[in-house]
Amino acid sequence: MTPFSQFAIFSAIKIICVFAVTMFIVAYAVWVERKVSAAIQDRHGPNRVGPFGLLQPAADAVKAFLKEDFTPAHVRKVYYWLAPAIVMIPSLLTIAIIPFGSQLGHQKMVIADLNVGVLYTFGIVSLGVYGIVLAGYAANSKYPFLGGIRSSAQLISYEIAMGMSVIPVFLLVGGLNLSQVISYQTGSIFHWLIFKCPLSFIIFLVAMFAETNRLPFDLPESEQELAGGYNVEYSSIKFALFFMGEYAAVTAASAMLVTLFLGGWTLPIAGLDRPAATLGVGILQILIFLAKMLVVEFMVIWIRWMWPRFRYDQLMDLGWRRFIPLALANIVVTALVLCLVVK
Amino acid sequence: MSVAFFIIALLTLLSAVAAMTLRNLIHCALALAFTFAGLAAAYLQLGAQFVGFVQLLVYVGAVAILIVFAVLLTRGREPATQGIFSPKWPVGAAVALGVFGTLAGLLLSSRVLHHEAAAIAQAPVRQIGEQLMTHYIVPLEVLGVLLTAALIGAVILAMHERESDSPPPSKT
Amino acid sequence: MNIALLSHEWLVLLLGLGLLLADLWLPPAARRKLGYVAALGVAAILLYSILFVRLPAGGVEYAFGRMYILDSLALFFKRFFLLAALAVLLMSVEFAAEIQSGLTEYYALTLFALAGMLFACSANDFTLLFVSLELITISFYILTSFQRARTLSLEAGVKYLIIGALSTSFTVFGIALVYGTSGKLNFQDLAAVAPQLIGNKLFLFGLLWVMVGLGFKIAAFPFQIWAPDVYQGAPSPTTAFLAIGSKAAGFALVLRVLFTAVPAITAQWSHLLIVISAVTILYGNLCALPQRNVKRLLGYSSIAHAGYMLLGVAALSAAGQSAILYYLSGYLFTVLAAFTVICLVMRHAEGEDISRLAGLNQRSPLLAAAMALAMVSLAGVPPMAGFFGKFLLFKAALAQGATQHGYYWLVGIAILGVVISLYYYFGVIRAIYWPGNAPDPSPIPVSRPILLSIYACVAGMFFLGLYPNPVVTLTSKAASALQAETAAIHATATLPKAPRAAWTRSLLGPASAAPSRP
Repeated sequence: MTPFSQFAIFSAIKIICVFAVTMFIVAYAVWVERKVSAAIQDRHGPNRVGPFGLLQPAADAVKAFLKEDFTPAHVRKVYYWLAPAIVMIPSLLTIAIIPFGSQLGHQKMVIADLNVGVLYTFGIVSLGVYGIVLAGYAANSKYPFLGGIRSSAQLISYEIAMGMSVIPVFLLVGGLNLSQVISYQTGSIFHWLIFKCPLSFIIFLVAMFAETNRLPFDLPESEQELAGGYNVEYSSIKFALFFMGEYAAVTAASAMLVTLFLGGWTLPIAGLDRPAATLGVGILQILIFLAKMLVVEFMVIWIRWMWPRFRYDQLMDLGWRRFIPLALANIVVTALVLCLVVK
Repeated sequence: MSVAFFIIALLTLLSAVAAMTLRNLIHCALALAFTFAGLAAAYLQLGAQFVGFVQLLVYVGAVAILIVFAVLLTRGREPATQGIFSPKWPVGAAVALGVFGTLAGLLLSSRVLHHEAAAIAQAPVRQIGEQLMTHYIVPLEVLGVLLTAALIGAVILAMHERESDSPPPSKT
Repeated sequence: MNIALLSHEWLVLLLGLGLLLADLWLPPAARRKLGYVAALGVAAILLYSILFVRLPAGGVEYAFGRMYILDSLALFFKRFFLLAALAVLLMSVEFAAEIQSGLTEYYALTLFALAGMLFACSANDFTLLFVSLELITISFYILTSFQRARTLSLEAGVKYLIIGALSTSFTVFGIALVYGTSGKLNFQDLAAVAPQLIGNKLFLFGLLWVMVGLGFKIAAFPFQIWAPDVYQGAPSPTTAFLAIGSKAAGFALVLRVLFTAVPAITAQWSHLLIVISAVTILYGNLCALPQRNVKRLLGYSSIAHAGYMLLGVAALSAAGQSAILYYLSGYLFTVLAAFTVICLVMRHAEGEDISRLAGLNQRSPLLAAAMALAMVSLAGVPPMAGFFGKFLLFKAALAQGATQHGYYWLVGIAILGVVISLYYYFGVIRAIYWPGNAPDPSPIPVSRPILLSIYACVAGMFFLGLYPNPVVTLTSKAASALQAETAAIHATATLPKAPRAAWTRSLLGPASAAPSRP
């Protein structure tokens, strides 16, 4: 087998596995969301389909596919069809560069080990805005339009804060490659970047909520004022795609957070922060990564049900007048410290 | 020159033409975004990962979306009713074709096409950063001032007049 | 690396940013004074430059990998721009009432444009050339459309933006072609390889496009189309700064590119330069004839003056380059005097028709005299600065006449242009002194700083016209910097002999007639 076809086959296997796991997580994230909200609001939540309602996601999927796919007469057809797909794609693409494990055999557990790593992530994430703007524009009615406008402003604003927040990380690591970021965080738990750049972590975390349109920053869809925002005119599987797009974005963002700040697939005990020598250790490291990611995702879901929504001007004020200056100061301070320490 | 290159080039050119000729401003802006994305793809194909993703991030993710945003916030939702071409468009087209012909002729007659394709230089991000912070620091700083000036200018030009005698700026 | 090399630029930028911050914290009443603060700051920087900035023994210093150059030419232009900005800022304070909002930003943007000019005259690399040119242009887009309540100002802004963006695209495409064919961005590096690229048509095309972009800046034919509209619509202080600062920055870069980066190729472009110069002179002067709007008239006249200065470029000699610098110095005082008067007389008027100057002599004899002297100097009548500048330019061109007869024709056309220009310049003077019925006979109040500025301009005009020696020494020293750098390059690279104007023939003629590529 030529090296190229080998590369192609292994990449295809990795892509299929990662896609399957991601979609599984997305489906069950919805279930967890409903269960958590129910617990917080002192209800039962889904409990009819399967034990503890565990088959609810499958039932929802069947429902979404079987429902009449209704296209309102006043929408702009092409964009109306395009928007749900565009919402879904960037989140899935981002996952491609995240190292979800060290290695199995000789295969690195990452789909694409790019040198420009994070630049890719931000480039792709910035495309996500189009889906929502197009959905708002395609709907050709006022609430979705307002949702789309709000969303594009919000996403662009927080993208800046998010991008700037991670610069100190790369100043420390000395490269944009994510595998490099992870190997930097090995050795001790205090090498994790959450302890080294706590401010970056906080800004990234908050910006992550804004970027994924989650409460307390879910202004684009805020159900009470905008009747659901940009996805009002959608139904059946197209609506479900928006819904899944949101959870896929949360999953991707959690994975990113884990990689950047929480040590990725490493644990600073029992040599688990070194590339795996055996198959078992390799699988264990993948499980560590998944566990960390799920914890973060659980927290994201939990926060949704504990916080009220920000007002739009507060959101913008927070982004532009608090986080961006803070992130800039963070960069300068980190650079100064590094400069003094190196000299 | 691979098939992929021709596909990318064709799509980029087509969307650029669409960005110029379509009547609906939103469609134009989206076509422009697609052109930018096509350029990013071309850079990536040439092995310039850094430039490619920066192009994607800056032009597609920020510049084009701001254009879309601005068009949506103003009057862009109604397509133009009268023609968008000036009556003298054949003259413009002739000049453009002339320039293109000259350039193409010069390119074909020059040695550029007979050069061996240079090996793709992989410039690590670190090296790009170091160059920007040493050799190119003055242009970089000037660009910073330029963007500051542009930002101030944009705010000034879009600001509401305090005087009542001035015509109100168009708003949504 | 010596950070003090860039001190002019840093100081101006700090002043601009400081103004913006001060605007944030000061009470509104105090903000009115910020214009004087800006002018004082610029004056202080100018004083610092004259008293403390000295060139090293070699006469030239580089910074950042020869990206930035400080030689006597750069220093000459830096002081020139600072002086221009000083007068423009004083003018802006008088003009403040016409600017509804963002007054401090107006001063700050003027300073940013000034910083761009300071960087531009030190550019020794296409990268810095491009970004500093853009800084100037972007600042001017905004300054031009600053009076948003006036349709004319907005129109001027839009026109300048569209045509400026077009010219920028030419420049950047040209730079890309130059870099693509030569692999160099630095002017000295380029000069070393340029002789081998004389036959490379792509390279020549790239250079030509860079010159197109610079041609827009100096408003040379056929890239002058924006000038009258923009000059007319922009706020008067901006027009003054555009007329003197932007044009001088353009010439600084033209000189650097033509005579430092590609002297070998410039030597073959004399035909092209002669033709452009002649057409620019004729176009500017002929189009100015029917104008009734003073600012528009000055717009056309500025095109004509660009033509005169191109005559010095076309001369391809140190004398020509020195004459350009001398001419620019005279033009500085003249244009500033003219625009200060226009700014004071016409600030409240909607149109700047010549008839509004009627009776100026009764309203303010000083302003009338300053305006009349400026017109006399622009026309090139002795004993004013304009005369001696033109004299030097024509002399430089005639000195080259032996090598090529085109120069005689060029000087003939230029003299014809001067004769034509007498008609419209004296039309302005007639309007000032003709005992007509003044639209508003009230005397015009002149504040003390402006008085000072006008006196300085008039003194400058007379000084340069009557006692040229000190400035001639200065300009020939500045121009010799260019020559010294060129000579250093000539010493290292041997020039292949190529037929004159080979490139025009090879572009127009059949491909087989093209000279063989080395």
